[in-house]
Amino acid sequence: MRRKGFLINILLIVSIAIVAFSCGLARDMIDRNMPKEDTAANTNDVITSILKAEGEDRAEDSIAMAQDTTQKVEVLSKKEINKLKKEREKQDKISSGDTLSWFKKNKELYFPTKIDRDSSYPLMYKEKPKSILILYPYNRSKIVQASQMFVMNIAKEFALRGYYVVSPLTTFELYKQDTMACAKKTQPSEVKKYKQDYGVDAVLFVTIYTLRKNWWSTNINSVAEYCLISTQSGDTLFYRKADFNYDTPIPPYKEKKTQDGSFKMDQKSLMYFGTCYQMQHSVFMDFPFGPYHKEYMLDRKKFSYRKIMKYKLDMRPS
Amino acid sequence: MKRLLLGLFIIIFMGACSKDLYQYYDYDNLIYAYTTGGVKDKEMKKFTKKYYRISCSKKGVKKQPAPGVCVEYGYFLYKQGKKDEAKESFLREVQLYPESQKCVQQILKSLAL
Repeated sequence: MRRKGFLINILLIVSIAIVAFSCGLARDMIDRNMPKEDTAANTNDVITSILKAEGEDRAEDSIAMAQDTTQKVEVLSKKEINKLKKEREKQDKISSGDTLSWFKKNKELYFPTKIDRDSSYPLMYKEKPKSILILYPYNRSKIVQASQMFVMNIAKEFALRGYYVVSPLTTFELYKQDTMACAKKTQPSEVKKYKQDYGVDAVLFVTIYTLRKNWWSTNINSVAEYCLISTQSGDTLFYRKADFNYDTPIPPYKEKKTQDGSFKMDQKSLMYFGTCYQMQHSVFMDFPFGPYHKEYMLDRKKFSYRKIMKYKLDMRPS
Repeated sequence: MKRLLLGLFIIIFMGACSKDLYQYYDYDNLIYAYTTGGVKDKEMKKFTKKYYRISCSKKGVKKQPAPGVCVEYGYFLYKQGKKDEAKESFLREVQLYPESQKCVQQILKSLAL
């Protein structure tokens, strides 16, 4: 028991000694890191410099006050404040480089400048293609027969504009023989083979995005993209993306019935076929005329549409 | 009365003068029926007979059948086994449209004519 008490005493003494030693070390550390006070002469200098600066400021203020008292205080009206504001805004605009007026900025949106075909399709007039092959379209719509409808109507439109078009039946047979011969799987860089095999000057790629009529609406919508590529140079001769809406009580297509009424289209097909017909007619309205047309190369200065167009045929009586 | 008659005459005359380069008749119905499988083998003869009118058309500004029509007619004849007539129709296309020479050659090659 005595031994235990002795040992505890020793441990206590040792721990007190360690604490005292560590406190001393800590104080030393603090002392070392504390900023040392300057001499009394230095502090006086600082105080005098501060007082000087304050005196100078006061003097300046008093001069300004004296000037203010000589000038009259102007009270601006609301109109004048607005004027000032506008002037400042103008200056800000000029400094930021924005000098055009709202009308000039938005003029193109509402009153687009008329572009002639020569500047819209310069390569068409340079390369002068005579024959065109329409590749089997990439049909992304839900109408299975959309490809047939598009090819037939485009072929007719090109023929009536004076071009030689490889018959639609050849397009379909080509696709039957080789499914790679379609707009989806053929690369625009591969069109030169059609020049060798079929002797065509240009190949048309068509992508059908939508062809639909919702049950609650009378509107028929069709979206498609057209790209005519030259087989000689590989350049794009004609490009258009069209969003076409047909919403009129007038049927889009007047069917020319066969003499005995056989081989006629059903009503649903006729509706979509008619929309395709109207769409191709609108899309290729500004397409340059071909060599079989009397206006060939004479339509350079005629109007042309933009590359991305929204067409709407709406003749519903109000 | 005279003015009314004159007006009617002008309307009829303008209607008769088609500005289209070619006359297509019922081409859309026939080709659409063929491509969507609406023409049975039994009906092929009747179908070709109807198509003959389009391939022999001498209406429109150009007074000749539209491009590709003779090729299609030749193809329908070939399907019926009339190979000589089919070849004749193919060659007619080349006569009318010299650009079609390579295309027709390719078709003749594929049909072994």
